[in-house]
Amino acid sequence: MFFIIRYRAFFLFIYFFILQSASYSQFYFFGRNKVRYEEFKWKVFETENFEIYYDQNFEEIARIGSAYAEDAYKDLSEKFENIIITKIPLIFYNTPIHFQQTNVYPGLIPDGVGGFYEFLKGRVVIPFNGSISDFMHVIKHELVHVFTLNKIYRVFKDRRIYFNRYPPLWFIEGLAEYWSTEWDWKGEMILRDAVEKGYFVDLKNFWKISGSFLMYKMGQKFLEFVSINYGEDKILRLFDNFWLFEDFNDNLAYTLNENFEDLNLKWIDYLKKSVYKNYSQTLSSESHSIKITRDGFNFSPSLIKNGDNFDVVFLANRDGYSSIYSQSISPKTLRPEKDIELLIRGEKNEQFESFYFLQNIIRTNQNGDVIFVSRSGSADVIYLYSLREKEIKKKIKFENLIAIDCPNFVDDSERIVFSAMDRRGFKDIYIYDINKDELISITQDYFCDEYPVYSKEYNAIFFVTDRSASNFNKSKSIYAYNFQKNIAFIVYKSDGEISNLVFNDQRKSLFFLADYEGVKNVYELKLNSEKDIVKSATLTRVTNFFSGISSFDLEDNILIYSTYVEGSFQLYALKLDDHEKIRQTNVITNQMTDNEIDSLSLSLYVPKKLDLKGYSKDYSVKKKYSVDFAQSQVSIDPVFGTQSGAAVFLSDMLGDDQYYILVYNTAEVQSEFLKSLNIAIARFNYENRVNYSYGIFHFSGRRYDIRDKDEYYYERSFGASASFLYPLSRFRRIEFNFVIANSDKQIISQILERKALIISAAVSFVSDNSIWAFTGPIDGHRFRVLLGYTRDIRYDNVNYLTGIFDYRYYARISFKSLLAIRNSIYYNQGKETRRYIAGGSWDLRGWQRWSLRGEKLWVTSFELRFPLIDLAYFKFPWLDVGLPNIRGAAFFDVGSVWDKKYEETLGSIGYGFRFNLFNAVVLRYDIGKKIINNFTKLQNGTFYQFFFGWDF
Amino acid sequence: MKLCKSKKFFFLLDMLILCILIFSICSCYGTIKLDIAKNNDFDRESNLNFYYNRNISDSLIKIWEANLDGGIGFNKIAEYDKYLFYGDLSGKVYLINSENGKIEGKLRNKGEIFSSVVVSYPHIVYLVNSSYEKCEMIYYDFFSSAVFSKKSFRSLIKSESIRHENGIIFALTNGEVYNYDFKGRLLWQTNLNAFIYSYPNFNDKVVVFGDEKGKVYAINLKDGKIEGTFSAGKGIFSGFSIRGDTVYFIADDGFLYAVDLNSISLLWKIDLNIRVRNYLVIAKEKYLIASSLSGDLLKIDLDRQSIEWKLQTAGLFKFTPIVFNNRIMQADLNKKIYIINFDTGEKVQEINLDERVKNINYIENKNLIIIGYDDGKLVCYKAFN
Repeated sequence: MFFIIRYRAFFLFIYFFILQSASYSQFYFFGRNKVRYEEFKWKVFETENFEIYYDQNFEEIARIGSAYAEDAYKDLSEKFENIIITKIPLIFYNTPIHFQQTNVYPGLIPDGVGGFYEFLKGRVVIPFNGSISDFMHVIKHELVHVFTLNKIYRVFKDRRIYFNRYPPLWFIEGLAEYWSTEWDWKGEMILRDAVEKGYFVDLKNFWKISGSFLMYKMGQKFLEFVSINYGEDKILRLFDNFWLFEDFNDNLAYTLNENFEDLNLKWIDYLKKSVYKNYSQTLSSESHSIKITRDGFNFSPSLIKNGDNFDVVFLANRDGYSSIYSQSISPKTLRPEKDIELLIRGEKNEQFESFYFLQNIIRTNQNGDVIFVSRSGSADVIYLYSLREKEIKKKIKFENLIAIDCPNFVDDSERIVFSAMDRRGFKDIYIYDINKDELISITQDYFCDEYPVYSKEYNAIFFVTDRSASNFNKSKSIYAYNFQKNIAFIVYKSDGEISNLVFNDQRKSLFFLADYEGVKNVYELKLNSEKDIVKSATLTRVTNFFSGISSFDLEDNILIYSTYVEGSFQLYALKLDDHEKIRQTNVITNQMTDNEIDSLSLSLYVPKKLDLKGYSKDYSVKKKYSVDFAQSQVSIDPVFGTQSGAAVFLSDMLGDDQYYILVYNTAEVQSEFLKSLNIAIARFNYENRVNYSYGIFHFSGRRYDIRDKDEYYYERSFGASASFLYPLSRFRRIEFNFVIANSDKQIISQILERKALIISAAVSFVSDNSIWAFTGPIDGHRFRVLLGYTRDIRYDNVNYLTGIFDYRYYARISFKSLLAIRNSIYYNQGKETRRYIAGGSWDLRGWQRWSLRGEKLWVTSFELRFPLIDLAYFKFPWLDVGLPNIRGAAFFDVGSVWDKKYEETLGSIGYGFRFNLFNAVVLRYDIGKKIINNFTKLQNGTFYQFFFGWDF
Repeated sequence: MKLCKSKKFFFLLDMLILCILIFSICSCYGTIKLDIAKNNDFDRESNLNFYYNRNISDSLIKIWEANLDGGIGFNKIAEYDKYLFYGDLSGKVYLINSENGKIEGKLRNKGEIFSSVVVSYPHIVYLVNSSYEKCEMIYYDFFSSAVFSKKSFRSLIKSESIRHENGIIFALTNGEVYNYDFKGRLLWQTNLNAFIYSYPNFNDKVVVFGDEKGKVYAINLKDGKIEGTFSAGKGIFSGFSIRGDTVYFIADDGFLYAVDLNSISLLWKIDLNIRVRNYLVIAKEKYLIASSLSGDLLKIDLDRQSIEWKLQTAGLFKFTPIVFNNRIMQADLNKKIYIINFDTGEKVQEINLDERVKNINYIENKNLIIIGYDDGKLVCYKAFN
């Protein structure tokens, strides 16, 4: 038994990584694709403490980033009182879209991931999002992780203690935030909401928000609390004392010299005081605005007049997919008039692959047109959508612009203005003439220029930029680009972070969001009457909401905004005139002389850059491989004796080129050692859009294959394999697999032998746009069709065709419930075909696991999945245990397996329970009845089946 | 009872395993055995000396290397006769022959040794942080290879212990200060009710400690009475240096403070804008050498209260420099050793290494320089005059 288990695991490895042969493979998979659209030309150079990897287009910002990384290293080495001995590999990606194509991390990287630290090879991988201040923040954040890990490792190693524990995630991420950035409006916004609504956690319950943004920010706030009340040096003491405690909370209490309960109370008190200090001077969205949305996450609202009503077009994630919706509101009451209407379903196909949260990606004009940005393939595109005709009028894609945001109409005409990043990582302002197909850029440098808005009154484009911010802190300015004079000049210099410009023609004012008082609120910049140049402006705070505003739009007198409420983003509306009564009267005046305007307009902060002086080399020349993973195993089996094996995975620094080496020996006596040597070497290359692999193998030994004759036999096979995978998009791909193998099988030793020189070829098409919840897919579809042919070209002992069709569809009934449907046919026809297996919790439930075997198989399943218990909480005297997300299912399975002649139809019906344990494994318990006698009778009694695995 | 051949073999094998087991259990604590005569020169020496009134050559010849079991800390190596004593972070105390680097004895303890080992014939005295609520002070008699005395305390030591004429003074992190004589008798104790992470110093009247809030305590050396306190701007984590009746230290506000020990009042302060985690070294009676976490090395004229020179490096200095009349040697955690001209502050040599350098020691009677690297490596160099 022991051998079988081990052997199966070993064989799985071969199937997955070496052969990938469709005709031999039942262990295939669905899954979305990581598409390598970009042909990177990697360069590498070394600084004192880093190895910097960057694409050749990215050189200028790579120089800024590496100079900053050295400064950050210096600062952190002092903070941690430690240095890192080896050079830290720092891999920069030009844009977030390029970053998502990295192979350093093998899985898919979702939108919004700012970077990561991979500790197998100590690689730090960071994308540039257009803002140098954000870039610096992420570089330092990830370096704090590098130093943290090294510090803890040193503390244990110096004392020769087994390195077996890390601080909790909230501390690791909180520290990375605390030592890499200032407290900002995002943290303040979610913390105010968490404290006001009472879902913040104390020190004992940080695990409840593990991995969330709230955890990052509460961790950061806690370390601020420690520094202010106990001294920043205490953070380092926590590391120094780490070896003394199994429980981190004990370490906290000891190092801060507090009783843990007292510390907890002081922390909660600090948190509340810090949040509520401005409470009395602020307003609540709930009591001073009309709530427009109630479910999901809603962003980027844009107002458009539609007859007597107003339509709000906005981005939302209400069901797992980000999509664009419309909601009609009454101009009198501001209350929603009809149901929310879905305009564009996102994230289900290549056309609208992804929409970006927390960015202004939607704008409307009074002609009923909507422009919005979506990822489509290798880059972002702008879509022009007609609200009246409910169709896409135009798709605009630019060859050299990768990431686009903040689109806006210019004078409601055929021109649009937007900010975009090119391959150099420069985020600039562009104007595109739709009719002439002409693109011009207003700015062309590494400063972050965004939120452009057109003003007919001034015939100018106003935009937000960091070009006058010293040392790339987060303060921004507003500049104006004058069309006639073709110049850009400063309009307003700010000390805070500003965003979301809206020009209101009636008031002749610029409205924008600024974080002057902790969170972002709307401000009005009243420009002077001179048309050609802005010499002075008066700033007034328009809103003063406790939790702030993340995005807004203004039309006529109506202001619609998105704010953070009870852990989600919702839309609210208010009338500006009504709000005037509570509008703050304190007025900030921004006055500048001509000289100041000139000097500020020209003064650009020049960042420190590293001079490469020709040190940069092509990565292809300096490419080096190192071991990702190596493991050996020696096992002693009472039947088969001592066996040993080893697996080694090698890859290059960028993870594009990978080698897998497997050596294993199944010899039972010494003389069989060479004969029983199993070896497989394969190379996988992900450098280009077409992924390919090839390898050679030699496998020999006694086999037990549950899928075949259910008996032992000896087989020796050697040969080569190759596969190609072409991703058509994130959702669809084509696969080609080839294997040539010489196979000698001794079914009965010296009596019944089978020799074959097998060639196998298969082509597959895979499509997958499903999204997953706690126990499996909840929406979308998964589909695979495969055609394969396997033949013994020498003896004709093996000769068969393979066909697989597997389609799974997930029909959403409500937010948490769905009907899942599976239709699968597996078909092998010919000589010495392999058999499929079925039965058990994964297909035909009620039937003994893997007891059904045949060359042909079909299964159809219907499963109603629904929430059963959201949280089961057990409070024992000594321990509190919470079991979240227990799900229920009602199922009906039907199918059959057969070899030559169809025998009977099998089925089962029942219900079950699903529980995701630690987000690692789904436990499944099914109760039901088999349908027997060729699908004519329910079994007597009931079956009970327990197993694990995701829902189909 | 007669045993057959194979049984005999297994019996012998069992006996061998048993012997190994017994030997292992017996050697758990380890031993240090020294059969040497008392040498008054070593018994008088303070463990806080970092200035050596002599010149040293720039050329160093490596003579031996010793590998310890645990990691090297920022504590000093003690010497007695031709032997060196060092306590590492894994709790072991080593007896090393300074002539060949051979480890001739080893004492195992559970925990870490943070402060320097003190040698007072025939005792080795050291403090072990065993757990978060236990620090042990162990008097080990190296003549008879036995623990002579053991004291337990309910806190940790995270600073240096002071060897003075009559005994050893140390402060625990919870602010308890103890003065024991070399026989293990308590001379006095006092409680500062403060967290102590700074490195103390003393003169013939007082011993000086600083706490994490920036308070300086002058304690009477004879009776442990607090003579006075002074408050600096921020926490004190550096070491103190004393010249006559004036104590010097650098608080975390970056200022160098000079405080009169008679009146416990500020004489002057200058802003150096550095953070220091080691001792300040007074050399040639009027200069103060300070090295910082940010890799700065400064020479300050104490009489004129001015910076003579400042050397900025990309390093991280956590260990006190050793100062000679002509040269300063500074261990840089960032894998370097600097040899600096005392007069001009120019780098004479910058020695690049592959590992973190934790400490640098000068063994005066043998003219040896011993560098402690990460992962428990001690390398000894002969310095030529």
